[in-house]
Amino acid sequence: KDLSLLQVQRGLYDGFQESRRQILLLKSDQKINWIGYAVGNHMAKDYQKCLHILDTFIKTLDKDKVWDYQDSEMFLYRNQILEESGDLMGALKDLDEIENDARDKQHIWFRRATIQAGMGDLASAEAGFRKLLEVNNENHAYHKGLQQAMGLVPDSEGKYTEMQIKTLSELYDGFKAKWKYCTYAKRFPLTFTHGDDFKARVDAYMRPKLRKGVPSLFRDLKALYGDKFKVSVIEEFVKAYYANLKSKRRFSEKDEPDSETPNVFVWVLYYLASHYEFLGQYEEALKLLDEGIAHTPTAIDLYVLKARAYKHLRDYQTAYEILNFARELDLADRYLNTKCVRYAFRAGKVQDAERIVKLFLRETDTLDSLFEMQAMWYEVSAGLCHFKQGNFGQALTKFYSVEKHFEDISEDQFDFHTWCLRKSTLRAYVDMLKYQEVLRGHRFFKKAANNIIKVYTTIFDKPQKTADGSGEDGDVDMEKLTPKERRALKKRQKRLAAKAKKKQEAEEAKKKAAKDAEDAQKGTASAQSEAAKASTLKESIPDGKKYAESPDPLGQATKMVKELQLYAAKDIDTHIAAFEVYIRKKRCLLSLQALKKALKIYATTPPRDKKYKHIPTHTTTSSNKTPNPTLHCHIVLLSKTLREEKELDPLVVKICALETKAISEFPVGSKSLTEFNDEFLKANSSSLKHRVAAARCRKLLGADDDKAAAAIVDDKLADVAADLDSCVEAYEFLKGLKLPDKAESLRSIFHKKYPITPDFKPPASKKDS
Amino acid sequence: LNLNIFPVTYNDGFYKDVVKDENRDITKLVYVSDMLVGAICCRFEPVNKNLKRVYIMTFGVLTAYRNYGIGTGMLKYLISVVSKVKGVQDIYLHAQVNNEEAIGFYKKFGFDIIEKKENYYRKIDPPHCYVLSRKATPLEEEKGEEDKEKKETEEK
Repeated sequence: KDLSLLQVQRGLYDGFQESRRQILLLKSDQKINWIGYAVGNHMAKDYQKCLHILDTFIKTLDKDKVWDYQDSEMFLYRNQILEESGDLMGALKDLDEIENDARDKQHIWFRRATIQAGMGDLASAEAGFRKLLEVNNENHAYHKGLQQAMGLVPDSEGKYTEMQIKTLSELYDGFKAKWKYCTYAKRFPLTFTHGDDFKARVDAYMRPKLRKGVPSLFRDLKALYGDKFKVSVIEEFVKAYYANLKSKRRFSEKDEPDSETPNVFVWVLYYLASHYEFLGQYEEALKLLDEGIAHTPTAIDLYVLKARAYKHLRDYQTAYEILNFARELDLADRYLNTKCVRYAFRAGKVQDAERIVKLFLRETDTLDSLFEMQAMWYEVSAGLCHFKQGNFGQALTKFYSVEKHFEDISEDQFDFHTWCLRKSTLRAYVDMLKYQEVLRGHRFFKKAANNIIKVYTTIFDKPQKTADGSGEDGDVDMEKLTPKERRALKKRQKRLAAKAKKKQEAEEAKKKAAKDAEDAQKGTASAQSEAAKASTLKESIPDGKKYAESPDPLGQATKMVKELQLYAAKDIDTHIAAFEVYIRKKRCLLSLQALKKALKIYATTPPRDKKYKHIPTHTTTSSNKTPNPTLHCHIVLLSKTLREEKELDPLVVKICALETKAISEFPVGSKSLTEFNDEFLKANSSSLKHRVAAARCRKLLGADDDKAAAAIVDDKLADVAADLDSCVEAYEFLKGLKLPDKAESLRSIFHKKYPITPDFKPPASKKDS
Repeated sequence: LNLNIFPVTYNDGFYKDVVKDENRDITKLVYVSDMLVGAICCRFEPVNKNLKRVYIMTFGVLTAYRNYGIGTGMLKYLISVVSKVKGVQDIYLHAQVNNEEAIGFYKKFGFDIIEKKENYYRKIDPPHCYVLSRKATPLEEEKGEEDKEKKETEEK
């Protein structure tokens, strides 16, 4: 039995199936063993056997008793097996049979309608979904099902035909009339209508929400912002509302003056500011927000938005200060508290962040309790902050904590194996098993893993830096000293280390003595268990320092890479990270593999600003025309390594050469890399991001600083398309070269464009950090 | 809120007073659409063993939200609450002499000027103020309702 538990825990389903069979043979009177074997078959995809088992088992049940929840679950589970095995007809018939016995009626109707749609019986499916909508008219799945059944699905680009639009409009106007409060019926039409119809609808949609003061209106409509026409329509309307409300307290010229109360003005202003902020027009947004704050200084959302604008402009200090002010307006608001903690970390204010987060912890809790609570948002936030400040040890502690949580989640499923089989909650159990297989695809894990890799590569690139940031002796170059000096230095370091250790021990002893005294007062039993709990907790938190001092950072990084490749294979970031690790290890084949994957992913996804990531993409078959600047750098690096690295296995070089010949993004044959890079620059000189990439490559290929800089700065700089991130990148790069004049002139150009961003502020006025 | 509405600043002691239990019923905040727009802060001041007065310390609504009946609502609420408390001599407050809007507003509710204090304020101009007061009687409409209630209980 234990073996079977372990097997299902580890996902070794074939073994599980076999073990379960053995158990059943040994003890066939226990219901749980029958079910266990059935599940085993299911997971091993042996559907026929599974059905057979279930049927045999069902025959043994007492036919006259009233089916309870457990039995109902089993019937539904059996039905699911039928469906998964592909026997849709059988599943459908089965649904009819079990309808009276099963408890979850809505589920049955839903499955029936879905199967009917899948089998092409659209009329019944449509009727089925309509019936479901009568029960719950907000369920998106039901709506989507109905749309599919009626053939009202958009094409691969997300567009609807005229006929579809007409039918959809009629359908949803009908629903709107029938169900007054159905939000889906009001919102969904905005997605498929356009032109004047859209104009009228969006106007009618926004007004009541603005009147009511729904702060999430912008978030709601953000999904429409992929469509330029719709964006301009919305902007026109909201600007008109703003003007009219300001002057005459009404929405538009057609309304009576004073038809709206002053608070509506605040919400309209908030929407307009959100709109500008999203589109990157920060000056407008901030102007509006200041006006709003003068109007109603107690409207907390205005401050939050203002802080967000500063965050986007990279002025993290000011953003934090504003948000903190907002937080203090309402200390009972947990959302403001957690947001403020994140902003504090972004601004590098570790102590403030810790202080603020403590406000919402219990009085007996320490920061370690956050680990117990698996508060991954906190750990990622703190980790990024430490990384930025160069505290690799602490950063790794936090990131590895996240990894540990996922490990724990995976381990926790162990208890469910016996429990679920006993209670026959089979559908949910099987879902859970399937989820465990993709668990580490969760974005928190991806973030943590990607950052762990980044930390290790940074450590690898700068070996002199000690794990916690160098001590005073860290920068001394060991080779320049005479042996005597070296010994003296070592001795001194040893002495300092011993001193530090002694100090630490003394402190800890003192702490312990104090705690013991406290404990004696509190009563020993509970205090002991608390202390024991606290120490086991501390032990389970990963020790980042140890990781940071690991002699093989790349080896550790590779572990993370493998996880990501397994669970996040579709993300381009995974492969870029993999490349970074493998190229440093000089494993050219693996680097090439990662690069290939990255190129492939990039080719099929249209490039766009990450702010549109909430709008689902439609993978285009037409390949991407503009090359990815990061990948270009990688190509150059790999090619250079292949050509120049002495210690490579000649077979490896040969294979790589063969492969790269087939990839169009690589330079042809023995073309000079410098030339290749120059061509890239010429073809993409209108984008600052690409220029910076080309500049990096030049430096990599050994060009002098001037030449490298010339890639970025030339006469046509003013026409170049650049967003804030690429400006910062360009400036940082130029600063890294020894060309202070060029850097300075670039800085002042960017400063004019982004006066708030502290990276571009003149050095004299920069505050000491 | 007070920073925005009033020309005088109040220190922390003021705010501590405001949340005292005994002052709970006569200190209120007003929200519109989840945004704080108005507030009234009062306290009880004993005159002797049996008598006390109600002092209005701050009373205000954000500029944009005035003339919508919020202030009226706050004052009516205060008057009705106070009129049910025993032993209240009057409700009184200070208003700057040039604050015609405020003085007119209170007069509408039966407040009278009972005194003028020279140089009451330190930092604003004009530094003088009026003391306005109103007996702690219920408002007319409420009085009518109360009398009706009394009659009904008597008849029973």
